[in-house]
Amino acid sequence: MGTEFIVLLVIVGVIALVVIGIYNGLIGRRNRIDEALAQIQVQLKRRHDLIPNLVESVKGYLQHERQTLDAVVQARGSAVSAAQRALAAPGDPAAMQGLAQAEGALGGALGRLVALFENYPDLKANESVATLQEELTSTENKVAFARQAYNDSVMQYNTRLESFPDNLFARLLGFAPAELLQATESADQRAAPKVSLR
Amino acid sequence: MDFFEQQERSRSTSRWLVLWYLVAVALTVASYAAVGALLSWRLAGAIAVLVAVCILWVSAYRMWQFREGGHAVADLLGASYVDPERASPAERKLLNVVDEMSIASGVSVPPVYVIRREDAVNALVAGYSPNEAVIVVTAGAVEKLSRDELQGVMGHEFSHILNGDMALNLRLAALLAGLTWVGDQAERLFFASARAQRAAGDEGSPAAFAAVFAAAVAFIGFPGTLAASAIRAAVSRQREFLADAASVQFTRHADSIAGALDSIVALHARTAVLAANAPGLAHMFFAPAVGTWFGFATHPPIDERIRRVHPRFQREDYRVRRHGRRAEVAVLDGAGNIVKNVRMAPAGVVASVGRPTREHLDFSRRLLESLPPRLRQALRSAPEAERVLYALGGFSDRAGDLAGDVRALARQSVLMLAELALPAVKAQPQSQRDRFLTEFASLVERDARVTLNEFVLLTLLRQRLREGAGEPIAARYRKLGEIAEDARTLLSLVARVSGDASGKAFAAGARVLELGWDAPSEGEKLTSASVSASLERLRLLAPFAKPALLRACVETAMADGRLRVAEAELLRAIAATLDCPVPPLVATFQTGVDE
Repeated sequence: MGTEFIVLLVIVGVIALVVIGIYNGLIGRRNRIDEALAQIQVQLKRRHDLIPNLVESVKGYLQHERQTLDAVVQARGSAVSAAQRALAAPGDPAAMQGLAQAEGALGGALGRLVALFENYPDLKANESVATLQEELTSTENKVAFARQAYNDSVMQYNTRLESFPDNLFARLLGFAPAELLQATESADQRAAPKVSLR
Repeated sequence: MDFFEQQERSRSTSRWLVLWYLVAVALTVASYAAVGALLSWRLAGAIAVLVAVCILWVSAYRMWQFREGGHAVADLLGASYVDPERASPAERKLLNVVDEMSIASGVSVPPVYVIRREDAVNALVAGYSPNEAVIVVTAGAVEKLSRDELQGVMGHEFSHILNGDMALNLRLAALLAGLTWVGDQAERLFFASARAQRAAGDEGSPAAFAAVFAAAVAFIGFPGTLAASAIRAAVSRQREFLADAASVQFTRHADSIAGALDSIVALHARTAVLAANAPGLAHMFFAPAVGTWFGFATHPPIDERIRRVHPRFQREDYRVRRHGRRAEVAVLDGAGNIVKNVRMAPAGVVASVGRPTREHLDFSRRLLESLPPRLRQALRSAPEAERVLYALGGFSDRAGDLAGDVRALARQSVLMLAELALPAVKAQPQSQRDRFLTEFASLVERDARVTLNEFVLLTLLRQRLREGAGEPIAARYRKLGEIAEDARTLLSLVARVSGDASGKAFAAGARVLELGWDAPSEGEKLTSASVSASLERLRLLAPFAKPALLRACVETAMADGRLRVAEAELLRAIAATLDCPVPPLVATFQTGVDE
């Protein structure tokens, strides 16, 4: 064996190691994105489950606010079905878009409902409503933070993907840039829980 | 700096830490041995070995105790685990906030402990690895901080988890426990024997001897204690800034962490944790858990932390929103009786500009009803209304028989009555209005001195009766900075009227404008002519620059938490001149933090 062969072998070996390193780094980050996405779905599910309870316990106090209550129930219904559609077709941009819109509408409707509470002192004094209110605030925050965490991990992944030397191999290894969640009504969603029952 | 760099940096700090620890141990051993050496070298050797063994043994024992990580720390502090199934509403909120932060930071949810019956506001996180971290929060923090603030504090703790500070902190706590052990025991012995001595009451008892011995041992061990607090401070301080910054990264809401820090100050909350083991863990807490030791503070000053994490944090505004720092403003009836107390913040006074509420309207209606019939009659014709105004200025020779009626009125009603008299005067042609103004001004200057009452009244009349009164003012100055000296003069006058001897009130207003003044104008500059001239120029300020000026005046007047009648009247005259009419209520009492 000539020295040329050994040198070649060493170079190939080094390149292979670098590629393996890149591959593992990207896989780790891509998994974090998937995990963050799963987290968003968990929180949205929580939100959907919480609403019937909330509506049930405030219905008695808010008889003159049927419209707002109906809007919340309706928004929840369409959000649940949008979530099912999105689950059935993962990665379908149209389904994701529909889900984002439905959730945005639900966030808005909830915000209006919570703002109404201010006008009903009896309601604010009710302990179980206060508990539900806290749960709702927390769930809204969790949805927002889950989206934030998702976008953070997407940003880290994409940055890594576009930096040298990862950008040389990423395409070959089958890594594509991930999409950020757009801020559809997310400002609204974050604003909703800020209405406090003081 | 990403997660891995943080962890690496943390490890290299750990290596330095061990080195410093050995130096400190050597120092402590040497100082004890040196005392022994005064008697014999053999004694010195024995003491050195004994002390070194003690230190190393205690450090090793604490390490062993901490092998369980965070749970051991929670036990040491007497904290109890918060069971999600049986949490009180306040604890539920805490658990929710922790969940939220764990989602935001991507760290798994740690168990939460609360130190019950601990009124201080503080928190810490402990553990060897992110997956077995434990969060400990005082009951005081859960109760006193708002939801957002709690989020900020938890964000801070989560950044400690993520940065790998925790393992280092635990190791530090264990090592330092050994270093300070001898001194601590001596201190404890000293207090115990001093108590026994006081109980026994006679001199020369064994207790007295023990106290002297303990004091001597504690004194000799002092270098060790000092070195321990120096190491603790060196490791801890810089990390607090980093953790504050990371908290914002998680909450995306800088007011949360800055607000939590500010609330500790605003509520005069204690941060020192009373648990016996707290001092040894001081470097792990969110806020200082023990007093400062010879300049070796474990934490940077709170103000400095707020400034670094949120340079544009509006503390005053935040406190008004959060704690409702408000002044009690009384609504008075015509006879000067308090009808109702309204709580109003300085910001609220400015916000009420141009927006009279029911209460204000009620006030003028009530005043009108309470006036004697003859006075009410007088308000309808111009010559009579002028006489009412003369009477209000204290020129009884011009007021005729109305003087007595006006004098009988409460001080608070003066400006209000002036407003009621003005429409009739204003209905005259401009030439008549000017004549009246000139007349009034000459009366004011007649006795060569202008009282505050006269100044306020004249300013108001001039404003209402001048040519083009009520029409929009053409702005000549776009920024307050262009006529800063005039603003200063005005603010100085307000400060003087509010009896501001120390310059604190002036400073309160100056802070709003941020024009870099440190002291009010000199007294001799504050003549009625110079203030009037300044007001005239300030009147030509662009409308959007005026609220800040008015706000500064209100802050100055209310710096002592009270708004007296004289201050309120001056503010109204200023506001009228600036064409930002303030409703007529204000006259008042105190302020305080609502807790």
